[in-house]
Amino acid sequence: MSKDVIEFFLHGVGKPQVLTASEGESLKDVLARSNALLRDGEVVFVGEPADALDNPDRDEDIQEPVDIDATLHALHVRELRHVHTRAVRRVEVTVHFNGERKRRFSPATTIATVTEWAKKRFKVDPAAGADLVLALRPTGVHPRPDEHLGELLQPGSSALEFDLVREVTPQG
Amino acid sequence: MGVTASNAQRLLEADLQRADFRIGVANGHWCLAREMSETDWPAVFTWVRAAPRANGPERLLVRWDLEGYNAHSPTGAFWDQSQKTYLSPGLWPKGRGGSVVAAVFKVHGWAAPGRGFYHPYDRQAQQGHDWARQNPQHIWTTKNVLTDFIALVHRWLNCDDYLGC
Repeated sequence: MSKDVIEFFLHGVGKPQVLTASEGESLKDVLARSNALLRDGEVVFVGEPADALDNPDRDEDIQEPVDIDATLHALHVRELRHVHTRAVRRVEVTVHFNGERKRRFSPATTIATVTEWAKKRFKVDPAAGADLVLALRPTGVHPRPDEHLGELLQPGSSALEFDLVREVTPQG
Repeated sequence: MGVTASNAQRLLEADLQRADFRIGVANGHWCLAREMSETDWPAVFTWVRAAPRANGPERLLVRWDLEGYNAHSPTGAFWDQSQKTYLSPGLWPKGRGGSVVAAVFKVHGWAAPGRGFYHPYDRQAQQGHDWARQNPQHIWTTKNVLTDFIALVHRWLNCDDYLGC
């Protein structure tokens, strides 16, 4: 692989994909090649923000969508590695535990970050909360920590609800 | 893999090329310990990074047995590379008493101690349990991929209930 060719992950069009491209290419050209250009109202994020851990009490993330005319180099795709296309601007997340907490997250946020945020917001002692995981409503599925909020949305939706639950200890 | 590779081998090879496995590699969470080979099959070896503990290694080697993948669920266990055998039970990761970590890594009191993970995904642990009712989120189906299981092992080795080895 030549020095200016980078590998990164594209989210938002089916299952996540591994892509390679030259850093000098515009994101728009890369998306066009992958049939992943934006439709009305959709945006692109780069990276995996963790605003929620630095400012857990804010009601919204600060990450902004990127300009797809910029090059991969200018967007720091080599370092940030994740491009989220066809995204909504924010995902309204509600987590239920002892009550409920809400935040408007970037869709590029990982489940690991949302889990940690929820533990902070519910003031869970880290030592007592190691086995707490997010269960998606209504299915009860436990998404993997490295999945992103945007990947869990149903078409046309911009909201997700989770229960913060203890992982079941295998017994028997 | 050669032209004689089975469907199971081809499926796994494709799954290891998928983004979800490669994201874990890029994050330094796990990686193949060596390339898949006819000689090793149905065994495949991965490293899984562990949280720093005074008495724990940076990463642990897992031997996965993937016979019948992915119609049949994997079974996995920690492996001693130098001795070319399962890791001695005394060296397996420990978990806080009563925790999931302690349960899934237990090395006594079940059918395959020290040779499997005590979890519904592990095919050696499934026998004799009503886990489809008790733990329905972790019943292996053909929608699952090895990365799902590796990601769980990574999470257990990186949560506060993990105490080292």
